[in-house]
Amino acid sequence: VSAPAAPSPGVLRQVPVELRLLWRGFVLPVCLIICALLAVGNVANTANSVRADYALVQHTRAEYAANGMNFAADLGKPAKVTTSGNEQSVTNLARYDYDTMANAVIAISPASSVTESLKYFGFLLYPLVFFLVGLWLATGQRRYRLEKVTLVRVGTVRTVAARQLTLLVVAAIVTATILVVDAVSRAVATSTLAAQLPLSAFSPLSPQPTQNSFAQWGVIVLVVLFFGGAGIAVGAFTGVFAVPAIVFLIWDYVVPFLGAHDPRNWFDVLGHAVYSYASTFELSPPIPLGVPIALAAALAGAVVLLALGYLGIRIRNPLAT
Amino acid sequence: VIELQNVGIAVRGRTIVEQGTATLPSATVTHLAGVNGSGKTTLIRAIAGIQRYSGSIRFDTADVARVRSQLYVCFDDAPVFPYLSGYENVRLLLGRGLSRAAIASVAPALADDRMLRMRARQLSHGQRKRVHLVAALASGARYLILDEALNGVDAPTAAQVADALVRRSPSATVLITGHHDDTYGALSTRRIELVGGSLIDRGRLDDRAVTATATGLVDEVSA
Repeated sequence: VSAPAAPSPGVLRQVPVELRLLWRGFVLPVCLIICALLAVGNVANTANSVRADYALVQHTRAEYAANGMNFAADLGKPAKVTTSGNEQSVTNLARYDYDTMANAVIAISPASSVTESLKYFGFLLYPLVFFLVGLWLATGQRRYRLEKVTLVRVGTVRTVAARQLTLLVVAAIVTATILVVDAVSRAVATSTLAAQLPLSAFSPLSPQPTQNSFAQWGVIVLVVLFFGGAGIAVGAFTGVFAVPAIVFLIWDYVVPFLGAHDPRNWFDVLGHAVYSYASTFELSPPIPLGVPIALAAALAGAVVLLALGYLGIRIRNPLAT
Repeated sequence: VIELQNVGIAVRGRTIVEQGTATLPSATVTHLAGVNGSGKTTLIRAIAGIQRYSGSIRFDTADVARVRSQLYVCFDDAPVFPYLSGYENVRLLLGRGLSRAAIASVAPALADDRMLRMRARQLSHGQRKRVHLVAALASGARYLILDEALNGVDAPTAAQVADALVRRSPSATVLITGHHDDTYGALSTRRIELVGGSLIDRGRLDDRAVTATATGLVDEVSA
């Protein structure tokens, strides 16, 4: 009797199944709604910041006039900021306020949509969102005792590989949704602000920092792989959703950095290395660590976490299914 | 053919199967019998490749990894995704798209259109079991394993399953577990018993008796 030459169902065929469960299990719709609302909120916040910065420029201009100082002349000179303890002093207030306003105008423009969205969501929300998505992918079917059906049909290695690939697809869907909502919101905000404020009068006087888009996207993908991989691995080992989700939430948002090698600090270092935080959202200052070390640690961590997903499902299998 | 050779299974230090050897020929329905806790489900998990074991389990000489697309296991707990309809659950269980018409035509008496349109969370355990049985029959699998397939289903459904399996068996290797010897014996052409960790192959049942009993079961319930 010859062996039937039937290939096992491929990883790519399992990805739509995982996506369907995420959608019909309300995980993906909730993610998209929350991210879209936060995208609108982020733009609204940036618009308020433009108004506040414009009011500050006008206030400074009025003070210059009241004191008989030449506002326009000071714009041609650089502003110097010195920090002493918790206090900051600025040598040229006219230029400083003008630059702040110019940066805010750049930040609210639709052209800044991608960079501004990534640097806000990539570090503030993505770690939590993709940890939870990964955790749900690893535990959702187990919750309904369907995992064994999938394991029989697809096999353990392909099941985990499909979930990791699904994570990337979800990241693409979530990011695309954020960018579309953000771009539309910025277009509306810019046209509304342009009718109220002379935005075009605030063209930047200082050269803008160069942005490496490849590095920016690379760090975001690393965030998704690291924290999503962590979710899949933790779910594969524990088999439960609620407790790891709560622990992660507290660790990510409540507990301060536990040291230079706290994974959050690695990504903080990388965030500051590839993005310029000069607008509304400020990433917390990192504990000093070399960028190459942070990058190597984050990459190695992502690889280990992705591998642990395979180990976890083998160890828990079949007792948790 | 599914061949088990010197299969040993131990769970948390407890021996479930010891050096079990059996052959499940193609075009047969084999009844795996055993008392509660004897390890039938664990053995099924091993055959399906989700339980560690020693020895060898081959599907026409192939490893389980090579026959996944031709293997369907109908688990006793009949798991379904509660937010999907019966139709969508059949597709989920099979991992592929299948039209409603194709699903509904498999066994209309087993699961009608109204039931298959309902969200799975509204279905009773027996109805969920019927969804799994529809998936099993729609799978076209060459190897069908049905764990306690008729537990929780009503007599007419059991008759439909019997009828479908009798029609399906010429092109498949079917393994079915269950406690009610009369019912399962009527469906089966072979019998294996799991007693005290030993697999005892009782061999082929009498052909005429099987056909007569299976037909009788269908006729009796249909009437």
